[in-house]
Order: sequence, then structure tokens, then C-alpha cells
Amino acid sequence: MTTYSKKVRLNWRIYFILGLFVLASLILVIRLVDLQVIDQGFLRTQGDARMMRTIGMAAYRGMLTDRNGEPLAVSAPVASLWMNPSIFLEAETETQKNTLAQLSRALDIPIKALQERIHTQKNKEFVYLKRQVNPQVAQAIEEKHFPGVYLQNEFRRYYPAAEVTAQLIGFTNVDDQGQEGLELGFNKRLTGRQGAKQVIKDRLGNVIEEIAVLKQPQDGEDVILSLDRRLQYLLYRELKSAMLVNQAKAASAVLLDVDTGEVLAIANVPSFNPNNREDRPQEALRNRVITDLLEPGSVFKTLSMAAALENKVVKPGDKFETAPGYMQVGRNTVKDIHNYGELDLAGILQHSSNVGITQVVWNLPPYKLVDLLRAFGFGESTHSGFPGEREGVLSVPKEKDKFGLATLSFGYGASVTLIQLADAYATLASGGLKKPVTFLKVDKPPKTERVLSAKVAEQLNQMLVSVVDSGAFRAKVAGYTVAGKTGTVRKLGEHGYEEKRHMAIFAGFAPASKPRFALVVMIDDPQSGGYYGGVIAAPVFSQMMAGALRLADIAPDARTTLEANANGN
Amino acid sequence: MNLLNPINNGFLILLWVSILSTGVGIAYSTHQSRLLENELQLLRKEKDALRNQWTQLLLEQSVWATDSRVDTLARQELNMVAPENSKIVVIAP
Repeated sequence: MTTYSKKVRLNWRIYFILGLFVLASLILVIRLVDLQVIDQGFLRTQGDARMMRTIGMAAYRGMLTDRNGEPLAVSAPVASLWMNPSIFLEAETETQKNTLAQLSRALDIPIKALQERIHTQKNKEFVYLKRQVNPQVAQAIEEKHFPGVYLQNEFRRYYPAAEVTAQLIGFTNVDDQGQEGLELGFNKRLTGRQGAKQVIKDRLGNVIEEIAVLKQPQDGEDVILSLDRRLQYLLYRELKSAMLVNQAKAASAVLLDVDTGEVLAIANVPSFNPNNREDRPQEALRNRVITDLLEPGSVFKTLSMAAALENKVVKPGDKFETAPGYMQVGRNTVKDIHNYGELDLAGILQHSSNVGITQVVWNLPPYKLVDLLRAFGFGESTHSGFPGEREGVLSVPKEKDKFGLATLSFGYGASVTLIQLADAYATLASGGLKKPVTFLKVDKPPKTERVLSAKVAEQLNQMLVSVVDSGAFRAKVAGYTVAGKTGTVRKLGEHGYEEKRHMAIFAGFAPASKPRFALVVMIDDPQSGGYYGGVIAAPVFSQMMAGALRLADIAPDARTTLEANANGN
Repeated sequence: MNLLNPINNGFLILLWVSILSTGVGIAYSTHQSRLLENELQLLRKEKDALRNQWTQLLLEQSVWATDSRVDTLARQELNMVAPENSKIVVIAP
């Protein structure tokens, strides 16, 4: 019996406990229904109030600096304001406060425009109110805690050298991505990688606890360019005044380091201020030195001469008869400006005789000339990495096309960029050693390639010095020996070559005894009267070269001219 | 194992004590980590602020040192001129 009663009691206790369990779970179910169905809003608000979020951690875009560390493009932090319109509108109707008016005042946006913007996009959750506001405005707005209005930290790019480096450095868009120039060329290296962290935010969107850094932000790399800000300014200043004086349409110049192939400065006018997003005249955006093709004209004669000398078809002492100043070639005529009579090779370059250079290159098979031009880098990109760089056009004239070979020898029928020209003259200057053109500062000696024998390079160096000593005297720099060649190119218009539109070019290097700088200057469409390279471009070359040699502290190699000047005064 | 054995009893006490002490230790180190985390946040903020300030100063400096400004000041305010060629004396080494 005892066992039976024990069993009954046991059963009763089990049922009691079971009942308790059922009751407890029932209570839980009721609470669940209450929370999930009846009082839904409570949980939602509580949930929203304790949100775990992953937020980005901003990374800096790297700086672009010149070779001495002077900043050329710098990112500075700014704030952008964005809004969740539904939260904002809800809060506004709830509180009956006129937050819109306050916001419009704080942002300096007309209330109507603001209202329209919010209402047309009220179904979206993310609307930019104003991008890149200055820190004071951002702080003022943050302090007022407008519902649904948030700040996002961003960066804005500043260009301290402004128009001096405009086309060269380029600019970024509002999202801090490179759009033009070196900003685009080095975009990958400059761009940082955004980090991410997990945080808990409160109802107002403030971070209350940081859980974990998922990914450390990685700043972009600083890029040290080969440019020199002072030389850059020098070129820009001289170009600007030259454009004004000559009433030219545009002007460009490029300065290369002969020893390293580094681009020290490139300037273009007209220019624009890259700090001002509204100031973007289409005409001024191009870096003409690199992206524009032109027929090189007479500055090419130096290279034609190089080809003839290198292939040993002529010797410096050889004489050529250029009288009577023109020459019939089939149905065409090759013309000189004057009748120069008999000229030696130096004389042909000094007077820039088309008739003379034609006779010189006729000793060469056409492909030999083109081979040398190709070796000097024409017809292909310099691989400088500048976006939009053009390769130019260079083709071999047919064996029978005597006139084609003639025109190529004095720089027509081929198209080149100014940077290719500068590179070619730098190669001549360094005794025939070609170096890669680069926008990055070079630390160790670059790879060089011999494209011309040292002997021929030296002969040409002397001829180019004689060019500056005679006809192109305006390119002279007191105290230094200068080598160079003028060029005057008639521009191609819709109906062939135009009568009154020219480009004046001067290409050269200095000091000739131990070249440091190669410089090419181009003045596009001068309208103030003259148009010859020796008259228009040479003085600009002289000014720039004098400044560059002084800034680089290079000892004068032609002291006699200084002393002569001193005695003369 | 006889729990009434005084030796085992001592072992039990030892276990209790170690559980307690590790518990306190965890609480303490968690607290410490919070404090350090907080400090890290502050330092990061400070770093950001300093970097921002550095950027501003860098920009300000480079604006003051703009070549065109230096050029104008040198020529107009300080009446500086590049020496004429006749006044340059080259001392050869």
C-alpha cells in the first residue's frame, strides 16, 4: 500500500510541477504576443535605439608634393551634410517646430529650394543636403541636433600652386577620385582604403560604444613628383607675360632634367584655378605639352642632321648649294626665306635652310631617317604615365617620294608632342643617351639607352651653339653657352596650311658645355606682328633658362660673355 | 573521492578560492580594457584633430609662401632686383 500512495503523491506532484511549467510558458507566450503583435512599436524603438552598425573609417588621400616636399595637392577634412527625409519630416510634424527654417538659415540654402529637395526625395533614406561645408558650419549644425540630419566626414582637395600647376596636377571630383592630370595618373597610389568598425549607436545616431575595428583604414600614399615648384612658377610667369605681349592664343613650355630625364616643370597658358570647381574653361584644361599634337617644323632639322651624320653620309665640313633659295621637287617647291648661297652643315641649321636640309637627307634611305626619329622617341608614347598622352604619327615616306622625305626632314608630315621634342633635345644634350621621361623623383641613375654616338652628339651640340650665336641670338643667356634651334610652324586649318597662323617654337639646352636643362617653348598663334620662333619663342626661352640656371645654382660656363657685358657697361 | 577527507576538503577550498579570484580578475581586466579602450578613442580623436590642424597649417603656410606672392613682395615691398650681369662676379674654384 505504501507504494501505491507514494505513487499517487508522486503523480500529484508531477502534475503540479507540469502545471507550473505550462503556466509559465503561457505567460511567456502572452508576453510574446503582446510584444510582437499588440505593442509592436515598443520593441522596434528599443531595437532601433540599440543598433549595432558598421561604419566607415575615413582614409586620407595621399599628398602630391614637388621634389623638395612642397605640397602641390593636399587633402583637408571637411564635412558633408546628409539627411534621412522621412525621419526629418516625421519629427517636424511631431514637434511642430519650424526646423526647416532653421536648417535653411544654417545651410544658407533658400527655404523653398530646400523644401522642394526634401519633398521630392522624401521616400529615400539618404539625401545630400550640402557637400563639403566648412568646419564652422558643420559644427553649428551638429550642435543643434536636427532630427534626421547627419554629418559625414570627407576630404577636400586643395592645390596650393593653383593655376601654376593646374593642367599638370589635374584635379579630383567631389568624391575625391582623380579626374585629370597626375591626380588621375597616380590615382591608385594616392587613394586610401576606407576602414570599417562596428559600433553601437543610440537613437540620435551617436556612437556610444565601439565594438571592434573590422578593418584599419589605410591612408593613401604620398607621391613625390619630379617637379620643382619654383621652376614651375618661373615657366608659368614667363609664359603668361609672353602670351600677353604676343597676343597669342596659348603657350606651353616644358623643362627636363638632362641627367635624369625627370620632368622639372610643365606650364600651359591659359590656365584655370583648380580650387574652384566652377572655373573649368574647356580650353584651359588640356596639358598641351602632352596631349596636343603638332607638326614640329624646323626644330626637326637637328634630328635630320643627326640621322645624316650618324649614318656617315655627310661630314660637318661638307658644303651644299642652296641658291637660288628654292628648289623644284617634282610638282612641288622647297623654299627658303632668303637665298643663302653655299652653306655648310652648321650654316644649314643656322639659317634653317629647307633647301639645304633636303639635300642632306636625300643622301639617306627614308627608313634610316625614320629609324633615328623612332629611336629618339617620336611616334610612340614616352610612358610617362600622364593620362591622355598622345603618341604622334610618324610614317616612312615611300622610296620614290622625294618631296615626302624632304618635308619630313624639316618637320612637316609628322606629328609630335612637345614632351617628345623636349625628350629628344635632352637626349642630344646628354651626348646621345636617352632616358625615360618621368614625373616621379629619381633617386638612382636611370636606365639609359644610346641612340646616337657621342661624337655625332658633340658635333650637333656645337652646331646648335652656333645657331644661338648667330641667328637665334635672342635665346642667349648671359654667362652661359646655350644650344638650340628655332622653329616656325604654319598651322593646319580647314583648307590646308593657313597663311597667318603660326606656332613659334624654340627647343634647346644649356649650359652647352655640360648640359643640365632641356627646354622647349611654344607660343601658339601670336598676333602682335612677328611669328618667327627666333623672335617670339627664343626670348621666352632665354628668360626661362636664365631663371632655371640661377635657381639651380649652376656656375656660368661662358665667363667671357659676362665679362664682355661688364666691360660694355 | 571522499569529500570528507580533510585533504580533499583543502583541495575544494583551493578550487573555490581560485574560481573567486579569477572571477574578480576577469571583472578587473574587463574594467581595465574599457578604460584603455576609452583612452584609445581619446587618443585617436586627438590624432585626428592634430592631423587636421597640421593640414590646415600646411595649407596656410603654402598659401603665404606662394611664389607669386613672394615675387610681388620682393619686388614691390622690399624693392629687390635681380643683379645686372655686369654686377655679377664669378669666383672660380
